[in-house]
Amino acid sequence: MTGPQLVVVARGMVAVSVALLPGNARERYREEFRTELAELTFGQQTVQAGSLVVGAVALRRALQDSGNALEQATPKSLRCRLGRHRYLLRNDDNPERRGLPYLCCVRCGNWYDPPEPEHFDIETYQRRANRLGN
Amino acid sequence: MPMTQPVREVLAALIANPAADHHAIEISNESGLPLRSVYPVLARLEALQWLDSDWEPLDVPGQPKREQGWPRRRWYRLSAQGLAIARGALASARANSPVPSRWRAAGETA
Repeated sequence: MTGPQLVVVARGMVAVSVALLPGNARERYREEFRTELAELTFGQQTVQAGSLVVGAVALRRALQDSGNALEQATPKSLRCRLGRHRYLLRNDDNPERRGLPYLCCVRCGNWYDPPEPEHFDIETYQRRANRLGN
Repeated sequence: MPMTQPVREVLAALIANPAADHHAIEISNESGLPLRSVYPVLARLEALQWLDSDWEPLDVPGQPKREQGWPRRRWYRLSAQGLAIARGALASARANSPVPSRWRAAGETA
């Protein structure tokens, strides 16, 4: 068996994040985290495994409060509170937006206010948003 | 139902191809969210029965990794009930989201 290969650091971080979960969910998430991370390159494994450790408390809360309202699914990001948004380009068919793509923070839904439609240049728009927001 | 932005992003990624099986990493890539945000959302959606999830079968033809002894991955898919509710919820959220000020017509408020 060759199996999935995880770097040692990622394996350790998976163990830590799984240990923070409720006992009845640990086995499932241990296997799930291992197989998902194994699909990534070694460098990405470490980054994403770190992300899992950070998110383990939120996942634990989600598993314990399961069925509660969706607005509790993720806590408000500290970075968004500090104005450090993560903007990604989104398309919308809302006619009020005149078919233009827009930048929206994937963490909190904040808009980056776009330029006038007649002066719309998506590259400049995205560059400015990333410089200010990320 | 009120939803946070990460929930909307995950639902949008799932709705983009509702018949397909999605893995957490793919949802993370499509939504732009890190895994730490994706898993809690998936757990809550699953508890609400908006999502079906299960382990991939090990004997999938054309999956050489599985034949080499890799463990199965877990897939997620919107349930029939979840798909209908999610479409409505996303449309409602989109209709209620504010329009950027510069795209509003003169005199229009958010």
